[in-house]
Amino acid sequence: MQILNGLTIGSIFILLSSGLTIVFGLQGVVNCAHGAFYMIGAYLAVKLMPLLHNYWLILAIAFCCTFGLGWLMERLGIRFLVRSKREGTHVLVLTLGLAILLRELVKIGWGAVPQLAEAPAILQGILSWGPITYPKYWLFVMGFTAAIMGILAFFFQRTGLGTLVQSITMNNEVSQSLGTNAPKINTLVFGLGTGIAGIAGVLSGPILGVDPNMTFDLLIILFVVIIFGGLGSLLGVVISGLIVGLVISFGTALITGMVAKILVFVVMIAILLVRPLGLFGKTGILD
Amino acid sequence: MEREHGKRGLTRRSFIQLASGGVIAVSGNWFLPKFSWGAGDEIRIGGVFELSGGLSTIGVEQAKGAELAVKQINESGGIVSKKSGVLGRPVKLLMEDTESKVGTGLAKAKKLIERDKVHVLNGIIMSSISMAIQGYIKEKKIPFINSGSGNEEIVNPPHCGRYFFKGVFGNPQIVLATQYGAKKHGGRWYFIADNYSWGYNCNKFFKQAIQRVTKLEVLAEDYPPFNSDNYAPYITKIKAANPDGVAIGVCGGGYARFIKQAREMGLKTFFHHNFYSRPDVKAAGDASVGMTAGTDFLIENSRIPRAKIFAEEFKAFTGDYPGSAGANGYNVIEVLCKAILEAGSTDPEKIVDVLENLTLKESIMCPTFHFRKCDHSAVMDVFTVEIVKDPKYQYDAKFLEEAKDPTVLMTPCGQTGCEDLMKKS
Amino acid sequence: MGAGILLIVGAAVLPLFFALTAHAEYLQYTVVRMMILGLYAMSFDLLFGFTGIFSFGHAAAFGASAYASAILFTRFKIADPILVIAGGLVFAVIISAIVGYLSSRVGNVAVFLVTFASTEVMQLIAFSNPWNLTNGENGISGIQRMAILGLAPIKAELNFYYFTLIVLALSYFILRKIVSSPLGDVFQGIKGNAERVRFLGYNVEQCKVASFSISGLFAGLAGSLNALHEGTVAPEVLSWFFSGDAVLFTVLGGPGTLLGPILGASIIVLVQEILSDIFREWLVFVGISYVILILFLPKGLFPIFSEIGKKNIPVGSSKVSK
Repeated sequence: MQILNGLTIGSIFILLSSGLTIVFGLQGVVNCAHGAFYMIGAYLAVKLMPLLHNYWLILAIAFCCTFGLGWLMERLGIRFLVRSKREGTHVLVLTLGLAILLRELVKIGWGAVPQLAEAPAILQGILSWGPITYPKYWLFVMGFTAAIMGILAFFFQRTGLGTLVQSITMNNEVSQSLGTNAPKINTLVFGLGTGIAGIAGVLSGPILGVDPNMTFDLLIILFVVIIFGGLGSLLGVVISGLIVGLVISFGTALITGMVAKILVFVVMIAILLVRPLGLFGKTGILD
Repeated sequence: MEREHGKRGLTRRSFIQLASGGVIAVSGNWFLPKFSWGAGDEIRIGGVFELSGGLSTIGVEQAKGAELAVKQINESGGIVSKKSGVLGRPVKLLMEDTESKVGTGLAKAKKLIERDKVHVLNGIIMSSISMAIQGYIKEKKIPFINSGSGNEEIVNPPHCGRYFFKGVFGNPQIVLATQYGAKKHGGRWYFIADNYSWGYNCNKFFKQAIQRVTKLEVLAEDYPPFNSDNYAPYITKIKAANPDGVAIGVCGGGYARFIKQAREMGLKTFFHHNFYSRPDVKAAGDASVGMTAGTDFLIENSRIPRAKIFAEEFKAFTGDYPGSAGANGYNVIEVLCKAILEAGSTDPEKIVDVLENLTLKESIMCPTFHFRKCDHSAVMDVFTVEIVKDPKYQYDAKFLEEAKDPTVLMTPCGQTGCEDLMKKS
Repeated sequence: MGAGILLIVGAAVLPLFFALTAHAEYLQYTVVRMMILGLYAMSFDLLFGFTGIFSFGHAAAFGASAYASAILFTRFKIADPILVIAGGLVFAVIISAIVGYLSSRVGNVAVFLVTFASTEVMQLIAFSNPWNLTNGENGISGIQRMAILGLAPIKAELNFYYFTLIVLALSYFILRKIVSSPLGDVFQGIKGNAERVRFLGYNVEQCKVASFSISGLFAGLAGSLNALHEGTVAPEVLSWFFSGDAVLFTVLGGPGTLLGPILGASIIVLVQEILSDIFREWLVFVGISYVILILFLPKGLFPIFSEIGKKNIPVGSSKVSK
């Protein structure tokens, strides 16, 4: 039972972290606003559901919106900073400021009260299968995450564009030899990352609730996941996301939640000190 | 090249000059106090509320309640007088946002008292901010009625005092609502509450309340971190324990989240939540139906027809019906204005004397609303309500029963330790 | 240096103008807040502006000292403010040294995460009320200002105003000294190119720890002053948002100038005061400020002000010399 809990929450971590790690691995960009896209996706689902009644359509719309917004953020803000050869910390401050701004705008526009997000009707209810009784929607979330990860893996390993993206990482020479295409690819990948965050928001809304605090709540755990898994590595994110999800589920059940939270932070510091590459990290982006 | 730089240098300089001029002009406004020079006879009520930050949903509703009360009193006297205003003087409510921070809250209280010269102060939900302000008003001798903190620590020494009144009840009272569920379903209970002092407090008093009506068996006590995302591990444990009831002391985002997740996971056990919160129940949706909770305010209260009128007026004013926060914000303003009326002036000593002896019969909360002399904490009715679906209100709190003696779990007068602090200095 | 003396004299004279209004004490209170937050930001400048370390956990030192002072006064009944502050400072330096040690061993971007995580852990500990010391989310209240050494009273707002001003001025001069000393040169060297500094024979890690510790000392000083000023300490002094405030004040005012952050803090407090009378959604402006500042004014506002002051810079020039 707890295993399933761990897998469900782990799936959400995986989905969110994948976007973050792709961007981090590619550009060395820490996007503090990643959680904001997660929040926007969830809010879009809440607001559009009564109008459209079609869950799949809403997923698509959320993806497009957050993709577009992320694309804009990269194109206007981050690219400007990178071109001006600013330090990486400047991007941190920019994305942080944008995250705060987006959160406050949502609060002003849609209220600060937690919103109700419902799973689509066909996915509601409990599945009873042998000894296991589990909510159908939660199982769906796990499966959908697996599907998305599969698509991403396919994209990066098998398609031309994907392998091109993979070879760029932080390797400046390769980027430069690609000429003007490199910045475009960066923007595209950034949008992809934020788009996935938006999907994660739609998926997790009915489970974790929807309110403006989503912007920062999970962010620190996401950092732990991507550092543990190794920056830029999708496989790392999958494995580490599952492990972190399971550890948190079992941890909160066995020891007090406060201690579990402290442990998460301590573990992250330890990883950064001892093995900053994580499980499958490629280059030492963290110097 | 030089010409370009020249342009930039000049524009930057003039920009700075313009900006500085603007800042000085605007800050001149800040230096001036906020009352109009002619209207020295108005009654100024200061309100400090959590209008932003974690508790803003409750804070904004509380502030709206206060605003509505002042508006009505100015228009037609409300319950306070026959003509508009109090003692023939208009009432002005000066509101400030604490931003849910102690530093800001204290600074705003100072601003209201020192710059804007308010006669009385009200508001606040966060007990940490309340206690900081309580220390301050002790020196300044300005009456302050807290209209939102449930934490009874604020009326324990050293925080209690002559000029401070707690206008809402706390855990020792509201947990009495648990007794309905205990009587109906049994004494085997699972306790789950937020992992900080309020949560521990909830569980402690839950147990005391249940013990008074039935044999209590504590199956487990869990303390998830405040505002957790995922309560599934706890819910799995609760399912396994198979209790008669679950006593819940989870607030913030977790309120709705816990209930939703539990019902989604198939947990059908009886739930009781420490307090009824309309916005949180709405966020939890149908999952909250059937749950009982404690509250101090009923819209449909057979003893207080005024409550329903107030609820409709509140809806007209803000767009939604009031919960406990809005009602308390409103009630405290009426209490303050009534006290000023009977004191005959804005003299703090006279106001405090009146408040100590006042019973507000017309209160929308209960007809016997008053403060205990020993620690200035409010004595109000405790209602047990059940969440039901309702075509008009979406979700409503249906009245089940009322606690016979709301003070039974409070520290008895004479043992509070506050008695000495109540004396005039 | 000239600008510093100007500011100090200005602050010393300000209460005379305040006395003309009907609410002098409130204005003094607000300026003291500016000074305390200014000290907090100035201490961060040493770490960020001069040593180039982007810490997102500066609240740790402030909060550690604030809590230590609060506990010393309320729990251990230590009355003298000097001892209360000193106790807070010791604790702040220890915490800063530990965080500095951990941070010195990771790369620049990782420092952000390590410092953030450390402060979060501290805040969680404060919430959990270990040994019933911190009183959880209610915080510690009832801190009073007793007379220093039993002789000099600082209870009145005006007295505390000048006390804080003296502390701020001394801190400024000490930090100025450090920054222009050989150690200061090493700090700035690390900001520019840490490897080169290492080749010159310096132990870069130890120097980073030193930077953390010294800046932690002054942040702690601000924290203890705050505890005495407000009379209350709550977990919000350990929030990541408050760490962000240090960054905001410094970036707004101008990193690497020591005075700029004080200016930045003062401006934010002033704007907060003015805006709250007009417009309630304050945080939107914080977000917008971060964005606009980092994009267009990464050097902050102070260089612009000091540029006006310098008369011999020709109109055509756009650079500020350091």
